[in-house]
Amino acid sequence: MDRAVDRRRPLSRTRGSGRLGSVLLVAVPVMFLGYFFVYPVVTIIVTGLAPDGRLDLAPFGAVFGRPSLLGVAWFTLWQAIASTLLTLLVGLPGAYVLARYDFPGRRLVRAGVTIPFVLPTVVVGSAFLALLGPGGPLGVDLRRTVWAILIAHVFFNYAVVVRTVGSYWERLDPSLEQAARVLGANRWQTLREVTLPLLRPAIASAASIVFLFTFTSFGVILILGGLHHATIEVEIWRQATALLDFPVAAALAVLQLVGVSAILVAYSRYQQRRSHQFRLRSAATARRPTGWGARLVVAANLGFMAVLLGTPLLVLVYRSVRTPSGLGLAFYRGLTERTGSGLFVPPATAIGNSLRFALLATVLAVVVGLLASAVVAYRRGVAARTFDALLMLPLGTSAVTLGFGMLLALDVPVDLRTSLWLIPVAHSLVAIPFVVRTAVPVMRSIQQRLRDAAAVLGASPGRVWREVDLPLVARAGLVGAGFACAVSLGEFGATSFLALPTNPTLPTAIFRLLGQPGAATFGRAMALSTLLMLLTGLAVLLIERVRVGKLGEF
Amino acid sequence: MLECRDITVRFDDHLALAGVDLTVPGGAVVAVMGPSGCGKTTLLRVIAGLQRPATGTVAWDGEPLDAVPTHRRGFGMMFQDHALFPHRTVAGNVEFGLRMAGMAPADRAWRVAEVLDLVGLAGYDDRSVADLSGGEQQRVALARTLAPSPRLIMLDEPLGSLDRALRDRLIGEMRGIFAGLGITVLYVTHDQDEAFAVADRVVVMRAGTVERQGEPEELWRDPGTEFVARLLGAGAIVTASVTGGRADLGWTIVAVDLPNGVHRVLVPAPAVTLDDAGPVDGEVLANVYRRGGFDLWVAVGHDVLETRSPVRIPIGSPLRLRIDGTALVRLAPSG
Repeated sequence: MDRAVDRRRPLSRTRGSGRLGSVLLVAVPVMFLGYFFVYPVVTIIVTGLAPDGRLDLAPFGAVFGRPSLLGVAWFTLWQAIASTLLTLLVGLPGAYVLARYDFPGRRLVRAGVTIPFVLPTVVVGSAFLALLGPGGPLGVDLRRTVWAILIAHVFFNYAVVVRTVGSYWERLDPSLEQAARVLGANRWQTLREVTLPLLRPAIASAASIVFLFTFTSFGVILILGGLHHATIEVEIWRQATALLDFPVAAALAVLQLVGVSAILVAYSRYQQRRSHQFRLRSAATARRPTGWGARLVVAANLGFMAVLLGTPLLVLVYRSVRTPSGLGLAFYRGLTERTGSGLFVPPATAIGNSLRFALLATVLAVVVGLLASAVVAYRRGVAARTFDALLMLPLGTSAVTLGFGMLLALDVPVDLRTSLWLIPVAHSLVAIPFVVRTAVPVMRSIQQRLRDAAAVLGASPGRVWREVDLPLVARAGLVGAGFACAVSLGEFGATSFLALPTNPTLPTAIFRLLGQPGAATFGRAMALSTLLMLLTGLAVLLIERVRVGKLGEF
Repeated sequence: MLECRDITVRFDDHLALAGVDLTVPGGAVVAVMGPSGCGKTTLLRVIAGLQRPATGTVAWDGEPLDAVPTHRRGFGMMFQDHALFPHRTVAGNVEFGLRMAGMAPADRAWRVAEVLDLVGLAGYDDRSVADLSGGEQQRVALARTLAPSPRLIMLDEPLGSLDRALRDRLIGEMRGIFAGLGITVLYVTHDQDEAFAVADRVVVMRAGTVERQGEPEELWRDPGTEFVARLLGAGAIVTASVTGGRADLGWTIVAVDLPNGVHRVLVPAPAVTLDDAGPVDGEVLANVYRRGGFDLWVAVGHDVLETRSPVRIPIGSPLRLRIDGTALVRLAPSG
């Protein structure tokens, strides 16, 4: 009954923690993030605002003065809004069906819906190029139109809406809707007056995520839009790598940072303001569809999912085996040849590179991420909360900004810019927020009571950690490792600055191949994309196998 | 024998325990009861060594335990909501304390089987604790606590989340297990039925202090203070002006065994009888069917008396009562 007691700082913890260990726990993640993330981002801001060491707004003047750059900003904004609205439009019915109806294969559909979201952007770009580009099975060429981009964005983010809104919808107590019906509301009124207002936090959350992803979209736009449609992210890359105009690229990066921060601040304000906590059921509320209407709704949505999510991937695989001499593996064999690839090495070497980088990035992300999680989960006060916010910043910082910043900044104390080490470091920075978001809730959910119970049963403080905390945290670490591995395999934005043509990763090799003319090269790009898709799938499978029930916030 | 002397615990500006003394004789079952927030759980945590007191000492058989960490105290504790380890099976939970004590695997298996049999869960070894019902989880928690044969076991609202019928059954079973093993038990609950059913001795706590303690019958017969009388629901509490063995209750005068003066007194329900020729006029305020008869609340003057009736009497009915003045119990005033 005296629940207040459990919130107090327990004796055993203060007694058991050593000073040195405690300092290391904080110092390692802070130094890692400080040098590899904060320092590069600050360097970008300085380059944008004071290219020659004193305040100079010329780069910003250039951005606002050039119609082409203003056009980029405008396109970035409106395509993000359009993508978000379209994704909500098709995603909400899908969320409803998966939340409220039970049917054979429901779990499989749910898992399947998530696949596009974890696919590398380069694979998504390739798949839509295969589907909607020249020589595609539909016979249309939507390449360089905004439609290809919007459809690819919907494909990519459909899962965000279905998972975020769906899991909330599922736990929404149906008796609230039933009460509205009993009080005389028809289906439409119930939806408008009860369901949608209750879902608003989840919808807002999903919309913010989709907007952020599409606002900073890079790989998909670069592949499908060419130079006709560029987001700020693409333009930063072009200014920095093709035109070598670092101050303008930095100014664009600063503008994008401001935009992203504004969205994040507005979103967190909104989430704080919603005060009414209502009943959520932990049990599932799904039931079998009864009647023709319900069956039709379920069937229509499942059919739509199959077409939207299945077609591009099937076409990708198909075009990787459709050789001029019939179906075969010629394109896969062609990966061992350097000719015509636009690379200095055979494309197949990218597989080994990517796997090595993924291994390093995973180790870095899990070690730094778990140390950081321990700080966030076990410590209280302003410092811990600030640290928590710092850890989330890489999520809000675009990958291109990160890669560009590293390229600008990391020449002191030693020049790391051409070091291959920088690639896994950059990947781990992108993955750390995922590791932290997986591990912190697990660490927090370990009730103090369990540790107390172990102590009363005779376990010393060290033994308590080993017997109670470790087994639960280890699983979260494994899930985090799967995330980190998938992120590293597919990371393209930062890598495009850091990978040399002699050491391509899978995404940069695919991008290079797509940039070369010829059907054979295109086929090889499809083959490499298919391989990358399979590797990412393996990493995600690992996550799903380890994760029993719902672990973490993803 | 457990002895706690002058235990004080302060959380920020809130005094959770204010100088508590408590003695639990070896082999006795002592229940600590009181409303939410009275400090019961904090007291257990101090005894277990999970909470360091600002002042006071805990001693076992005369040996102070203040410098002994939790895991070396040799006490067992059953937590509210059981705190079973979700990542271990039933047997994994029960053998935990035995492993910590360094018992050999073969001995552990034997002891686990023995204890699971004792709580009626023989054969449950490999079940996941998540799949158990509330009652089964409670039994596993009890088995886990008993397995290392602690010299004292503490139970913190062990039946808190269970339904009434199951609670009644488990109270009986636990009572049997405690008596059979002859162990020393400290049992914390907010439920007086539970406390009275399980304990040899009951300690009533209030706002971080011990208000009263005694054997169950003694407490029921003489609650001592208004707080305890209300907590036990022992009857109505009224003011009596006593002069020369006669008490004026405001609406009647009865012969009593009390000294002269103005007192707060308890009117136990059995002291109030329905009698058409009785001297007291009342009106039925509420009636509740319970265990084969009706509990009646009767408005008399500005007071509300409690009594029992074998038949339903409609709310608002006038009736006449007789009060047995010799059954009135004097209470010490308490705010």
